[in-house]
Amino acid sequence: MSRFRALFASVCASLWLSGCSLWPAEDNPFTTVESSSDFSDAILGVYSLITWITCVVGVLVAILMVYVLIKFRDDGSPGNPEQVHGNTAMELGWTLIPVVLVIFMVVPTIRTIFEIADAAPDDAIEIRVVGKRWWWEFEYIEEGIITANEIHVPAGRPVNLLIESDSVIHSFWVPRLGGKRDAVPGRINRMWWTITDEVAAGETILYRGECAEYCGESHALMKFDVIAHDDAGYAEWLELMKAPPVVADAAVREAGEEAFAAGGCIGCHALTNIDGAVARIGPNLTRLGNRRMIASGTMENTTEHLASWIENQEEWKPGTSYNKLGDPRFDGMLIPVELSEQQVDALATYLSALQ
Amino acid sequence: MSAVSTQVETHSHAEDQSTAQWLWSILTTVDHKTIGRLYLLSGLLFFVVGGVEALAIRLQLSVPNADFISAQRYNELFTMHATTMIFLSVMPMAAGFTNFFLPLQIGARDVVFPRLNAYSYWLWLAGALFINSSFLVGAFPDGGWFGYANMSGTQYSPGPAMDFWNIGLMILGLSSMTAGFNFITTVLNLRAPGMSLFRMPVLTWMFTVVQFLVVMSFPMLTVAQILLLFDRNYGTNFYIPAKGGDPLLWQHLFWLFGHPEVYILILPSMGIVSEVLPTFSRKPLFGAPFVIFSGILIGFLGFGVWSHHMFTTGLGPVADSAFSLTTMLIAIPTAVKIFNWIATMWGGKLRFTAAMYHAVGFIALFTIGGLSGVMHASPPVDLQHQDSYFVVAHFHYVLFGGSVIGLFCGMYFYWPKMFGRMLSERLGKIGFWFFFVGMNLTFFPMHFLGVQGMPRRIFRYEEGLGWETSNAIASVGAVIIAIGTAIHLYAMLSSFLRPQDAPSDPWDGATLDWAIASPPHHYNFAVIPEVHSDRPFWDEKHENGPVVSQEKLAGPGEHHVPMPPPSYWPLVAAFFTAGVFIAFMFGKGADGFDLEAFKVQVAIQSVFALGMLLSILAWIREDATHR
Repeated sequence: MSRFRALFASVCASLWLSGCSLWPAEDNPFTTVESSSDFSDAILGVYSLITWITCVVGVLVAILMVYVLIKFRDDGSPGNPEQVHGNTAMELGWTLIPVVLVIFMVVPTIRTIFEIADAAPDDAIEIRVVGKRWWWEFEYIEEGIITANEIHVPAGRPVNLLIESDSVIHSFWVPRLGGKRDAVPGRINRMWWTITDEVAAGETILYRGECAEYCGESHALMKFDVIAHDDAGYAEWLELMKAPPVVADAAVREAGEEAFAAGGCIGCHALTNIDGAVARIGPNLTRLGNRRMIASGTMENTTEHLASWIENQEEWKPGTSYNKLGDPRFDGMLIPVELSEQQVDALATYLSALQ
Repeated sequence: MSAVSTQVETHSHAEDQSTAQWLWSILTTVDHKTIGRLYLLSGLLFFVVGGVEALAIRLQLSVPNADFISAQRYNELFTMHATTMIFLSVMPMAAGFTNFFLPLQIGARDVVFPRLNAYSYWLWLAGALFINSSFLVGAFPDGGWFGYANMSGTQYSPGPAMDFWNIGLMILGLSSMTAGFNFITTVLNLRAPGMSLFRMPVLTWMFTVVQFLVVMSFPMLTVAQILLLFDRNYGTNFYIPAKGGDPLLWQHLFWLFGHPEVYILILPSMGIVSEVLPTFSRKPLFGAPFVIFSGILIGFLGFGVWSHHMFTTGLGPVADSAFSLTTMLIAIPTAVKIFNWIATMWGGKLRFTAAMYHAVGFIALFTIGGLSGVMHASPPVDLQHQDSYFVVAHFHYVLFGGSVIGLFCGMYFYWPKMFGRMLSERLGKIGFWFFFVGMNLTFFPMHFLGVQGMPRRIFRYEEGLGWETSNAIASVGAVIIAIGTAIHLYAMLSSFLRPQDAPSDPWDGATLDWAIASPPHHYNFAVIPEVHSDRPFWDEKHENGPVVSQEKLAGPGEHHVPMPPPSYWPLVAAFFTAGVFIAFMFGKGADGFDLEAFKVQVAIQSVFALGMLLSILAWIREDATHR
C-alpha cells in the first residue's frame, strides 16, 4: 500500500514538474501549482493526475474530430452515405472508456479527501481565523495574541486554523499553502498544514492570501500575509507580540495617544499599551508598525499611507466608512469624530512607531 | 386525424394589416409559433444587454488597478450579467425553440394549453422587466446571481436591490414551471399517430428532459426564495446565523436548483446539435437511444451533485467523496454523447453550412468545458479551483461554447422555418469565426488566471501578480465576441428586409417540421401525418417510405382546421399575477416585521389577487370553441 502510494506520488510529482515551471512563485505570488506545504502536496498529487488525464483525452478527441472533419467532407458524389443507425458493441465500448477513467480519478480523489481531513496533530499551533468585512483577525489561542491581516508561523511545524466569520461568508485562501476553506458565520471550519519550505535563519518567506468568496463591496481588497520563520525567529516574534509596544519618543506618544482618544478609536480598536483599548470590531493595532501591509494586504505600510487611510478609507476601500458597514454593533456606538490634519498625522506617526 | 375538416378557411396574414392590428394580434396570440418567436427575439435582446454588461466587466479588468468602474457598480454588473444571461437570455432562447419546434416535431397543431403558453411568456416578460426596472430606482441587484445568504439578508443588503432580484426570479420561476407542465402534457398527449416516444426526434427528447428538470428544480429555488423573502420582509431567521439560522441552508436549496439549471441551459443546445449533425452528415444520429438515455441520465444525475458547489464549505469527507463520485459519473453519459456525435459524422458526407460550423464548434468547446469540469469534480482540486477564474473559464466553455453557440447553431438551422427567410451563410460563417476565436481568447486564458490564483468577483487587481497578460487578452477576446454578435444580429435583422424566400425543406431534413411550409401555417398540419419511423420525412424522400409531407397529404387549396381563438386574458392574468408578487416589495419592515407595511402589502396584493382571479375566471368562461 505505502509502496503504491510512494510510487503514485513520485509519478505525479514528476509529471507535474513539467508544468509547474510555467507559473513559478517568484512571478506568481498566488500560484496554485507550486507546493509549499504538506496540504498542497496532497492536492497537487491528484491535481496533476487529473490534469494529465483530461488533457490527453482532450487532445485525442481533438485529433479524432479534425480527422473526421477532413476525411468525410462531402465530395459531391451522388447518393447518400450508408445509413448507419448505431452499433451497440461500439457504444458499450466507449461507455466503458470514461468508466475506467473515472475509476482512475475517483480512487486517488477519495483517498486524498480522507487524508486531508485527518485531525491536526496535538502539537499544532492553533490560530483562530475570523473573516470580517473586509479584513482578517488572527488569534493565537494558546499564546493569547490577537493580530490582523498577518500570520506569523514557524516552517516545519503543523498549524491548525479554526476558521469562522463574524459577518457574511468569506473564504480563507493561501494558494501556495493549499486549498481554501470558507469562513461561514455560525460554524467553525478547520484546515491545517505544515510549511515544507526551508527558511534560512534570520530570514522569512512570504505567502500571500486572499478572500475567495464574494463578501460584498470590497471583496477584492481582503488580502493577508502568511510569514514563515524558522523556529528561533518565530519564538522571537512571539516574545515581541506578548510585550506591549513602547514608543520611545514621548512627543510622538503623547500626540498620538491624544489623537487616538479624540478620534474615538478606542470604540473599535484594541491597543495593548492603552488602558481599556480592547475592542475587536476593527483590527487590533498593537505593533501595527511591524506589519508589511495595511488595509488588509492592499496598501504598503508607510506613515503617509496610514494618514491617507485614516482620512479617506472609503476611497481606498469602498464600503468601509464607519457608518456604511451595516454592522448593528455600531448602533449607538461612539462614531469617530473628524480629526484635524495635524491629529491625523500625529496618529499615523504614532501607529507607525508601534513596532 | 378524423377531426380535420376540409372546409375553406379565410386565413390571410394580410399585408394590409395596420401596425395596431399587428400589435394586437401579438398581444392576444395563443399560437405556439408566435410565442416561440417572441421568446427567441426577447432572449436575443437580453443577450445584447448581458453582453454589454460583460464588456463593461472586461473593460474594468483589462488593466491592473483600473478605475473605470466603482466596486459597487462592478458587483452589480457581474450579478446582472449572470442573471440576464441565464434567466433572460439562454433560457428564453431555448424556450423559443421549444415552443416552435416541439409541437411541430411531434406532429401537433399547438401545445395542449395554448393560452397557458401565452401566459408563461407574458409572465416571463413581466419578471424580466421587473428585475431590470431596479435600474430606474438606482438599486441594481449586487448580491451575485447566486444570492448567497446571509449577505442577501437585510443586514448586509438593506435596500430594495435584492428584493428586485428575489421577487423577479420568483416570477420567472413561475413562468418556467407553467411552461414546463404545458410542454410535458403536450409531449405525453399530442403526438401524431405512430409517433412513439422513441420515434420522437432527439431535439424534442432533450426539450422534454429539460421540462422535467424545470418543474422539479424550480420549486426548490422558489422555496429558498420564499424563506429569503420572509427573512427580508418579516424578520424570520431561516438564514441569519446571529439569530440561529444557517446560511448554508440557502446554498443547499439554491444548488439543488442550480445544478439541474446547468442542464436546463445545455440540453436544448445538445438537442439542436443532435439534429444539425445528422442533417449535414446525411446520416441518422449514431446510437440515438444512447444519446437520449444519456440526456435522461444527465438530467437525473443533475439532482444528485449539488454539493460539488460546496466542497469548500466544510461538509466533511464522506459527503465530499459521495458528491465527487456522482459528479464524475456525469462524465460518462457526457462522453457517450460526444463519441456518438463524432460517430454520426464518421462515414458521412459533411456539408459545412453555417449551422454545421456552429455544431462542430459546439462539440469542440463543450468538450473542453466538460473536461475542465471533471477536474474540479475532485474536491482536493476544487479546493484550489473553487471561486477562482478556472471555474469562470470552465462554465463559460460550457455555457458560451456550449449553450450559446448551440443556440446560434439553432438560429442558422431553424431561422428559415421560423421566419420563412434564409440567413446569410456567409455572415453566419464569419460570425462563427468571430465567436470561436473571441471566445477562446476570452476564456482560455482564464484557466491560467485560475491556476495563478486570481479569485472571481474582484473588481480590481494589483500589478505584479502575473495576471496582466491573460486579462488583457481576455478583454480583447470579449470585443471580438461582441463583433461576432453584431455580425450575427445584422444577418438576422437584414433577413427581415427581404421577402420570404425560404423553401419548406432547405437542408434536406429528416423530421416532420421540414415536411410543412416555411413558416408553417397557423394550424401547422392540415392533415396530421401518420408516423412509421424516427425519420419520417427522410424516409418519404429517400427510402420510399409513407408520405408525411403536407402538400402531398393535404393536396392543393386551403384547409379549415379548428384552432383556438386569440385571447387577451393570458396577458391580463400575467399582469395581475406579477402584481401579486411585486406587492411583496411594499411589505418590508424597516427592522423585522412591520404591521403597517404588511397592511399596505396585503391591500395591494388583494387588489391584484382579485384581478388575477377574475381574469382567470374570464379566461375559463371565455368561448374557446375552435373556429
